[in-house]
Amino acid sequence: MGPITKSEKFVQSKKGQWEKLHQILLTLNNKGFNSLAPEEISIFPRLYRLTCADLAEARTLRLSPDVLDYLNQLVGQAHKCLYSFPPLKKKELKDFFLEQLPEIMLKNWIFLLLAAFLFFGSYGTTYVIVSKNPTVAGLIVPQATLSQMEESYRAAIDEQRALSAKNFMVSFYIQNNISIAFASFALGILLGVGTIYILIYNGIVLGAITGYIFALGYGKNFIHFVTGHSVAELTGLILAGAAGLALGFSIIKATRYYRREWLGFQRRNIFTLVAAAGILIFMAAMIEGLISPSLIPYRYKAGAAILSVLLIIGYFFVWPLVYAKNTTKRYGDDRFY
Amino acid sequence: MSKFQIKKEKEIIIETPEKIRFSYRIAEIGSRIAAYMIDQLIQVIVTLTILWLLVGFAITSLRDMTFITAAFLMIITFLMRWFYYVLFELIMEGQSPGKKLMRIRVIRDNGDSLDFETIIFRNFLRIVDDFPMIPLLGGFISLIDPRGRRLGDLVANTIVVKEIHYRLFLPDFHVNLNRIDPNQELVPIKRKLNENELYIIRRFLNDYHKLPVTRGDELAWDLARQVQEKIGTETEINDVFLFLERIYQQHGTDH
Repeated sequence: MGPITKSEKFVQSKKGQWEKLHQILLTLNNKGFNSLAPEEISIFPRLYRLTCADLAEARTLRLSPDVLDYLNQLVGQAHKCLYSFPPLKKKELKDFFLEQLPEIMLKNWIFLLLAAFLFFGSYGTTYVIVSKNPTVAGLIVPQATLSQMEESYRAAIDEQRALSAKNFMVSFYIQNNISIAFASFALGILLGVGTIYILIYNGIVLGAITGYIFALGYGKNFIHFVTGHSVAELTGLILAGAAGLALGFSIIKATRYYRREWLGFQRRNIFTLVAAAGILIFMAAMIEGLISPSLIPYRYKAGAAILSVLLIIGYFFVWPLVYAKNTTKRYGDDRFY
Repeated sequence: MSKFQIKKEKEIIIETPEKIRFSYRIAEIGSRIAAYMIDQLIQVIVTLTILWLLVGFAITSLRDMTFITAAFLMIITFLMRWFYYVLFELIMEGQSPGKKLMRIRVIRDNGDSLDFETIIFRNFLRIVDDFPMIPLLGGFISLIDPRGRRLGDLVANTIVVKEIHYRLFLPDFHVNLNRIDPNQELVPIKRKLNENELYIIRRFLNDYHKLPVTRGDELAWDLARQVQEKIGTETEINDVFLFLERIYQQHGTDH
């Protein structure tokens, strides 16, 4: 007995080519592109278009739902394979670090400036207030934290402190600082308010602690400890903050696009900032855990700080300017500017 | 009397460059929550297992491993919190173990597969979804969004869809069809059934033998009465399955 209904006849005449496409997709997904035979590769796009046409025809003929669902699924899978992203190449990674990252950094100067202003503004203000009147610190930071800080910086870095808990501190700095950075990016979605909150809050707390330590006269020990990692860490925090501000601003900004579309254009910008922040803070955490508490003479730590300043200025500001003169390639989205 | 109708589900329609539209069924919020809970459970189990191993090692080797244990624990919690979903959605193409169990998958709303950037945006915003100051923000936004997207989905332009393996249901009741006497009079049909209705009959006749006999009969009579109503005949039915088969056969395009 042959096929009876319209749907069955349709299926019978086309089933062979659908199954072939299905087979190719299975090989592609399970074994990868390289295991396809040459003729399979050449036939794949054609089969895809034929199946697309079949789906359209099946819809017009109002065939049964199983046929429609099956074709729908087949077209979806083939579409995903045909228009999927090529795997990341080494060249792209090189481009990312040598061209894209510095350039996007320069493009987002306004957000970087704003984030730096928010953080250092609140840091400076609190520092000045607390160093004049140390009791204020108790209002900002819990007394327990303050006495803990006082304990840490009372004496210069000694052998005992240098050796105990080295691994512990590295992992603490990594998880704590990177989490703060990522959160300050993610909270940018609340129209930037979350990011502003995190930047100002961290500025105030750090400013209060610094002011308190200096007012007690332990400034030298404090400087000894923080110099090495401070540059990389604070730059990282500012970058993450800038990413959050960019995210918030791209939602606020009125354009002729839908907000989600507009956000799509800005994604590359924001992602690059976050990636850079993550890398910087990771490096800072390594320094903070391994070098800062060690007994290495101060000049080496200061050297590390100066080196980071030079690297950051050179990489983020000088390099893109030099590079921009010699190229026409553009990264990120120009519609912003 | 129950109606034999196919429930319409929420869909996202994607138009390809070939100007063909295809669709995905959008995942229900229930299966998404279940997937989330499974993933959380996996994270807890992995973290606890590593913790126990470290503690066990510390006890057997009689060394003070407080700091190294705490260090490991912090790094693992950190990685789980930020990179569990990133890693799995990257290597499992939009699925995490929980999503795989619940048969759902993340796709971009233009039908493309996920890239690294999208995955980062989608998953880093989880922290806002369960932001302590605005409890259940993610769940709330997901509920009011017509496509059930949470904040991360909105920013990354992704949608969670059902992963169903559809197949064709061709008739396999041909043996029975032979029972039909070719000389027998045709059932008078005033209005023809459409492909949808024929599909229902086809699937029923394929699968009724899997049902308990009484339930099969019950459903068959239910279906037959509705079919009679649709085609507008009042003929008496002796064998209800034979009746359905005859109706199905008479809908061959030759008739």
